[in-house]
Amino acid sequence: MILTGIYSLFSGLFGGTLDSYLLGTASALQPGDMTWPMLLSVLGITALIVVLFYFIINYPNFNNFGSWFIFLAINAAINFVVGWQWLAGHMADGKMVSVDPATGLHTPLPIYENDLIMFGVANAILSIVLFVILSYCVKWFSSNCSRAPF
Amino acid sequence: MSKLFLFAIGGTGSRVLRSLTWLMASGVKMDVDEIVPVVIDPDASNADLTRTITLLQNYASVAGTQTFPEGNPSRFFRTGVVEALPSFTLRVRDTDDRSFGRFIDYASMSRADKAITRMLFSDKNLAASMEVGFKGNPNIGSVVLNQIATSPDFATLMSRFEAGDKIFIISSIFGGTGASGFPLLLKTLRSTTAFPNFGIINNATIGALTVLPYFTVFRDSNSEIDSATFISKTRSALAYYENNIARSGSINALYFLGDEMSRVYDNHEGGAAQRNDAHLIEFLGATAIVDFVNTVGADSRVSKELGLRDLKDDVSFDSFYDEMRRELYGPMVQFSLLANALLDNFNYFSSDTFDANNAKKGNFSSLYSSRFMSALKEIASQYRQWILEIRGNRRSLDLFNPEPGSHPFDLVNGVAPRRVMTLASDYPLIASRLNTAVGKTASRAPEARWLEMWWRATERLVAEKL
Amino acid sequence: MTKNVYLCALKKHQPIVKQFHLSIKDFCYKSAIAAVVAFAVASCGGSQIEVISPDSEVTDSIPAQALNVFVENSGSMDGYMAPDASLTDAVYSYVSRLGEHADTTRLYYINSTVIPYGGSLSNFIGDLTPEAFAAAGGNRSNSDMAAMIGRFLDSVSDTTTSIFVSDCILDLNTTGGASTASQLNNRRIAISNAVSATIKRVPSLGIVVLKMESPFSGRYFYPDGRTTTLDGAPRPYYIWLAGRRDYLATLLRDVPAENIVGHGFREMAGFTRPVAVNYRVTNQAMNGNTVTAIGNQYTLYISADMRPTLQPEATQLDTACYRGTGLVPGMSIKRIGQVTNPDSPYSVFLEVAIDRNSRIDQEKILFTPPALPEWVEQTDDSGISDVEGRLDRTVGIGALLQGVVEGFNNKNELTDFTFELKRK
Repeated sequence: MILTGIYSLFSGLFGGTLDSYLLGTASALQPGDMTWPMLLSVLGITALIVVLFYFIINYPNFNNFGSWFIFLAINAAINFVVGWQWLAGHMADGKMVSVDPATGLHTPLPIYENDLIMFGVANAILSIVLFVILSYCVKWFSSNCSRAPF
Repeated sequence: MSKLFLFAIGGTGSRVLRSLTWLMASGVKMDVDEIVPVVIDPDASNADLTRTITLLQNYASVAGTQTFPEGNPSRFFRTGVVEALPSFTLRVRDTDDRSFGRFIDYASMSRADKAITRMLFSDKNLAASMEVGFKGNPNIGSVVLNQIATSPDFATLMSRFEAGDKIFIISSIFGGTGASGFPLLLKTLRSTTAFPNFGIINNATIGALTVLPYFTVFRDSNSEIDSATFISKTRSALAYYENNIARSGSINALYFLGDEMSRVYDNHEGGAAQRNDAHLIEFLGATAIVDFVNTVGADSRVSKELGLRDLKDDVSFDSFYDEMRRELYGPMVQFSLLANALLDNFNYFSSDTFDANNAKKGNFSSLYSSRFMSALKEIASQYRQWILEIRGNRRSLDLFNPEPGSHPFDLVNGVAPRRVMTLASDYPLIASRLNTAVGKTASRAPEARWLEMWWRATERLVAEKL
Repeated sequence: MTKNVYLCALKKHQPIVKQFHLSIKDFCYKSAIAAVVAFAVASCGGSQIEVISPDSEVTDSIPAQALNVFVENSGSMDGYMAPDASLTDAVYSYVSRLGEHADTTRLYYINSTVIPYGGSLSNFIGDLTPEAFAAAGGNRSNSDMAAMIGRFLDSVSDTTTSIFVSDCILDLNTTGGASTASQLNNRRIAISNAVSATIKRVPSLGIVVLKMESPFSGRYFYPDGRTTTLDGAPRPYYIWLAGRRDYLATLLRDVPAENIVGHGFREMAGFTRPVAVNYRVTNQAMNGNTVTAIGNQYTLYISADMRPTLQPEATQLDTACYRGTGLVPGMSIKRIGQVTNPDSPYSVFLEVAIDRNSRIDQEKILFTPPALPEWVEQTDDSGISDVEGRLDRTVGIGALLQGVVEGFNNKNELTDFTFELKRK
């Protein structure tokens, strides 16, 4: 599947175990590939912010790098929080467990709060890249902000 | 290409011409492609004249860049201005450095001629210097201006006259130059045979605006101008016009304008000091020209006066009857929005942030340092000056808030801007509408495209908000 | 305010602005290109492999089994029947438990002949006395162990599982012409033949030998006819089980030898033909076959039911008994553990690590336990030395079990786990 493993590029940030968890191969309670919903959420939020910037707010005075950058930063912040809290929810729900092959009992995976924050950072980086790409895709169609960022 | 030959005689002529320029710049609909302004004023240093000439030259410079391909609805600067004579001026010779007596060579006259001359002209008349005009003495002007008919400037001018062109003459009835020049000029146009195209000229549609007294001047024993004589002069002149112009049918439309003489100006005989603030009457006179080109044909024989809905000290758009209001409101509000934007927010509109400047849209970046733009900004500046003057005069033409600052829609007096469901307001809203409009422009040249963009955007904004 | 200053600065220094402008633009373009490359790299995978293992479910149903219990009643067994001996208790409890898993339990004495016992198990156990042994009949002075084992195996079928309880001391006639080696050889071959013959009838034959220990009080017979009296000395005896290996595996699971009353269980050996066992290859989450690399390696789990191999638990958990074929060079077995989850169908799990950069191919992990456990050699005795110093040894047990090994004639691995790796 194309794009599978995009988060794995950032596994240096948040650790291989969380990477495996996202892909549904580390926890018995999380068997699905979470990266798709994650990616879709990043894409969705980023697309929303981009559409907001270029078409809904479409504010004539925002047609510059600085304003665009503020929206990029807001988008990154939102995606940071979403990514972090999404996984924090999993952790709170006790989903981050592996199965002891001997006993069949659940044991906590070595995933820590810091890893979740770093995942939020990875999500933010991804959203920045997407924001840049989407901006260049759609800015030409904006009536007021076709020069943002350049 | 139909033209209007517009003779502006004396100081009043220049000031009406100044007002007309705003109507043309605004795009008030005129059924004529070009006007050929001709100023007749022996007082070449008259400040009213010089600033009108500067304005006309700037106007011509901007209008010259405009093209109107099919699909360009813009009316800004749509009516062209032809500078047929240098500085639009028909020169009156031999008035610079001599008295009237010397002009008619009084000294070498026979006794009999001297006797009859002294019946017609006082000693003061004969000794009067003509450097600053005829100073309220039509009896002098009628003699001096007689030379115009045979002047080379006039020949050059009239050689451009073509079938379908019209002529309009602006003059004041109570002054010197205008009062004497108008009948003389009309008579010449109707009867001349000096030009190859005299037939067309003799039969041309001719209109005239005669401005009745609308101000007084302070009494000054050293000045030859005495406003106490305005009424008597006017009465005499009206009688003359009735007998020799109206009844003879030599004019197709004669417009009369006047007002109570409530405003008192300083008494200047002429020259650089004659710089009177713009007045409502001049603006209304300009609307007479619009009326003439739009409604008067060769078969017309009409005399017209203008009525207002109510007569208050402050005349606003609501003071005009509906048809006149409809003609003026849209274009003038649109032009005011443009002028204010140039004066108050030029930095934004000339910046990269203004999206229409984008190379892929209007590609206007180089326009902001062009001669076109400097002329336009100068026009905007003069427009604001005119707005301030005419607003502050009595009676006041109080159409616009002259300096709306960062709230461009707080513009039309008595009209509260409506709310528009957009995130942007004020100048950002204008910018937004411009950015949308630029994509719809039909013009190719950047100057024409830029003004077309403004026309389209401001037309929409006026409909939306004002 | 800052923005205005910035714009002013831009206007005043146009050339610098242009450079700055371009460099940011360049940066953004490069970022976009990098993102596209990253997406392309990501789309090529690299962090995941898929493990495909064949469906190894062995679902043969075990037919109802009859249980034959043979207890050797030779004279050498008398010492295990002393009041302080544990054999009777052990046999009673063990057979009782095994009997719960069988339709019928038949009881026999065995020496030169097989003598059926008509009573109940409790009576039978009660009759495990030297006197009762003697009364049962048969040749109690000389016991041909190979022949006894032959008769024991003869009773085995697909529906019959047999138990043989004996001290397994090989009766070597050192006074005759035949050498000890020759006699051991003959016994070994005889047993081998018996096993082979049984396999022909029961292809899924399995044999399990439990080395037990009990206080021994009585006369001990040396091969050369000498005797010595032992009083309460701990001596080994053996419980042989033979039958369908899947049934034996079930018995071993449900009736653990460790739980035999008296704690007499010491060692175990199991024998069978190569067998396909149930196994499953999964990721670490044990929820699928997609494995994500963590760090530089993939980790996967093989859960297997090794009980049908009949190997002792220590052998099942010995990493030395497992090896790959080398098709995936970066593969290693990191850990083998016992599955203690009672609900699991598996008995062991193997944690297998594969280098992320290793060649990925089809791989097979072979289970090749030693033919005979070490304890057999340590227990085997020639019978020449005094028994007092070698109480835990049994004369000729090595030859007997070697005969069993040869009877099964296994050339290759006992079982294997095949799986295919694919990059995702």
